[in-house]
Amino acid sequence: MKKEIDLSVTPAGIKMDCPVMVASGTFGCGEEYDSLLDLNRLGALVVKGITLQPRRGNPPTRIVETPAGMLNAIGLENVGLEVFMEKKLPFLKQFAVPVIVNICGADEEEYVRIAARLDGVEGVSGLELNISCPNIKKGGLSFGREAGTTRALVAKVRKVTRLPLLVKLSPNVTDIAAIGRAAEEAGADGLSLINTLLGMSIDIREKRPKLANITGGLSGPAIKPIALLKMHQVHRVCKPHNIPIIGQGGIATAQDALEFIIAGASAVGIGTALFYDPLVCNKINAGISEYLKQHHFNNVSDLVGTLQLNS
Amino acid sequence: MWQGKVKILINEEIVPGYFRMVLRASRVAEEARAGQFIHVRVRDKYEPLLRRPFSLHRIGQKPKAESLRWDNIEILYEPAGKGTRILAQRPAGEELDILGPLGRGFDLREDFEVAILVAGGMGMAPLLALADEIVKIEKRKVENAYIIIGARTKRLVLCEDDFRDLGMEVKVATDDGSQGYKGLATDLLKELLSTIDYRLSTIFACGPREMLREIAAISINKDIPGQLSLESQMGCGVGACQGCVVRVKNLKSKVESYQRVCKDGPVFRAGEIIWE
Repeated sequence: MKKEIDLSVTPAGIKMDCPVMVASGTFGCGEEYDSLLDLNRLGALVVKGITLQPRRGNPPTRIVETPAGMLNAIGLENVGLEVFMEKKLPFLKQFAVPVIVNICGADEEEYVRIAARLDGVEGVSGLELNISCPNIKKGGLSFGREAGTTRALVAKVRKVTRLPLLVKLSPNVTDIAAIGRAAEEAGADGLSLINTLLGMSIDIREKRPKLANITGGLSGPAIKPIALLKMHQVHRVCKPHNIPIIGQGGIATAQDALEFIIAGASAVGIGTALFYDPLVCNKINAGISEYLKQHHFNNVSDLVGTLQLNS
Repeated sequence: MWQGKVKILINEEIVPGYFRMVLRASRVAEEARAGQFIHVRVRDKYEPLLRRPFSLHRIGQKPKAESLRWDNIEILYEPAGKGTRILAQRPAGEELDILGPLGRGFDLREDFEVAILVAGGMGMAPLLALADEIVKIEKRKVENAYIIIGARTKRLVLCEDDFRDLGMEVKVATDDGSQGYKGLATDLLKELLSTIDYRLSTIFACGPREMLREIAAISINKDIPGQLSLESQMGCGVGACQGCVVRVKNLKSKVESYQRVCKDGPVFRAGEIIWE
């Protein structure tokens, strides 16, 4: 009898039945998709970024379609930590899927307070630190822009939580690998990358930016080759330290997911593809299984980081 | 909410520049209410990447022709952008990937004896389904039901006969005066309101932003409840991405917030929308 393919992975100590998770900001807190798909079939669910206080978000227009992609400038609209715990988490607790809470702050203190509050809370399987938020104490420059601020932030959050701690890296930096390394040294259990790429779009009739926020984050298939390169760069630097990486950025097919896994991703996050195909995760899992069978792998973990390089 | 591929039965240009598409979609027809929409993937490619929202124009209508059945839905669209132009090319017999029904449609629980529908151009799309629902499905006692159809010119006037078939009083406003009232649908609405007892009426409208803004003002001034169907660029269509918001002031609490057109709308109360 043929052995079943084992798709389970345990990046950063988070036990997932499959390597395909949904990325933060594209799946809300799960409720909206409940009637359409089985949340338990997701590897993990990363909820929309949560701040300490509720945030109203940016004025519209918030999204713009671009070639094979889209720009968004939602502005971290969310219900705030307390409402999340009271109203959103009980819904998510009905499911077995690991829930990872993406957290954002305007200063280190905010991150620390959110992380401390979520530590040991039932139904939370991990934290993902969004270090792309503007740091108000540094004139709005994001925390993740420099290795130094990243290191300091991660170290402070690390002290207040025992939960698996992922740090989500921004591609809008000079050396993403150095920042990944800094996060790891400061105590991160895993990295996720990439966040969106900064971009812009102009309405030529009005001669105005299409987004009210002027700039937005580019996502979708258009960014996949860039995301894959960042994945490769970070993996090369972090490989000796065995830190797991969640690969994301434009993944829409099993082929895309396999490229990230071969480049070193222990799991992959799906985002924008969900908007046009809410059932895409199951298809990607099926495609990964098919590939593993054809290439005589018994489990997906054995494929992670198998990229062959000359010399 | 359902997602899957459905068969295109008809895809035809009904007046110059406006298309009607009929789909066999029993799962959507069963659940859908007037004012709700479907989110359509116009083709299986990365261009365009996102789905396109279309108000349901008719839901599960009894046949006029043999090919039309209770489990059909219809959409009305104008091939003006990348997605709709591709949609216009899709022939009958092919399958189309749809997600729906989505959103919060018109609210017919309210007490009204006079229904006043106002359609501006493509804004006609959800109003025929609404008329069907008021007249046929709800079979409610509406003393009078009016539809004001606004169009640029006579040959672009949509669905006139459909509303007459439903027993509604049809009033037309054209920009060039080639049919009916010469001028804006909103001016014709004001004229209508000056001739009828509007105390127990509700206005239902869909159309260009400026038209809806004016209708909201009329609705507030004359204290007539109004329900407006809004349009927005959408991402997910189900409320997850928060990309399609509109600024709203809650009528009771007066608290301002951004509401999702796809999930909290697309139909909003006239008085709650903050026009910026």
